[in-house]
Amino acid sequence: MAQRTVEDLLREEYFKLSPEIKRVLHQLHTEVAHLLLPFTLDLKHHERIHIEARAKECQSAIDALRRREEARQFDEDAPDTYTLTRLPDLAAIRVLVFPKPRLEQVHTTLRSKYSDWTSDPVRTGTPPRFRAWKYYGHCSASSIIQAELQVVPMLTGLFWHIEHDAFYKPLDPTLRGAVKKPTVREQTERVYDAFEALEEILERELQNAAKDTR
Amino acid sequence: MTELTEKEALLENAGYRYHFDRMIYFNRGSRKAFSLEFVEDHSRQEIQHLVDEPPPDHGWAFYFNEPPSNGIKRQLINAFE
Repeated sequence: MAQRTVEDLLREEYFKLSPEIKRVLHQLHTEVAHLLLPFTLDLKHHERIHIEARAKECQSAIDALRRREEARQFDEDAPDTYTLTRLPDLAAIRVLVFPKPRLEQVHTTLRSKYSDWTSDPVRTGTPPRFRAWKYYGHCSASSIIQAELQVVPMLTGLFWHIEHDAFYKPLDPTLRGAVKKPTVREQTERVYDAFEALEEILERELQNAAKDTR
Repeated sequence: MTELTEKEALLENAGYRYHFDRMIYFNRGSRKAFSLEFVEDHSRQEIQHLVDEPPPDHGWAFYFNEPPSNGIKRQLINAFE
């Protein structure tokens, strides 16, 4: 009988973990929606709080673990060194918010609830620039599955959707590698900067409009 | 141009190609390979010094933050050659 590969073993692990991943996601999603309900009910017409929940799919989880290896490859001689529970985002919630004052309000509220979670802010570029808040930790539903919580400016979060669908979703390793290439990353940074500047201008214009109508 | 893109230009000007699947810069002529993480974590001068060193007498030289196992080295060499 052919020996099972690291990927075979991880696929088996995923299907054992799957019910627990779903429980963690359900708990975190419900808690976050409950905590943010007062703000959601109080939104002005132009303001947004959008909560997204996702359980990492089996192949995505295996690929994410492989990408953590410097050679982007598992060592078949050491299969016991790999486990999907090392991933901090098997269950993940992303909260997209506009405008910035709401973003800070949402972040403060969620951080106080998950104060013992590890902070791992998204910083990109050279020198690194802050892009979004990110935390990971355990919910009471599981001591094995780590969950991730992100609080992200709206336009940056929407661009991440485009990046994900265009470069990661096709499951093409060449495209993923291209995204990580420094010259490509430099251009991506310009897109992030442009979206941040656009959000600032929009926010200022909306504040001015509000003053004019008083 | 950022420091990272300068390091990338240094490698590409020295004949290194970027392997998109592995995210590794490699040069078949000098039989050297640099992981993206290694390039990120080391200075331009350090990388220049390693590029300028003569090729290894046998096999390939792998510049990684964590040295790859022999099994992984074999598979990488297959991918590069």
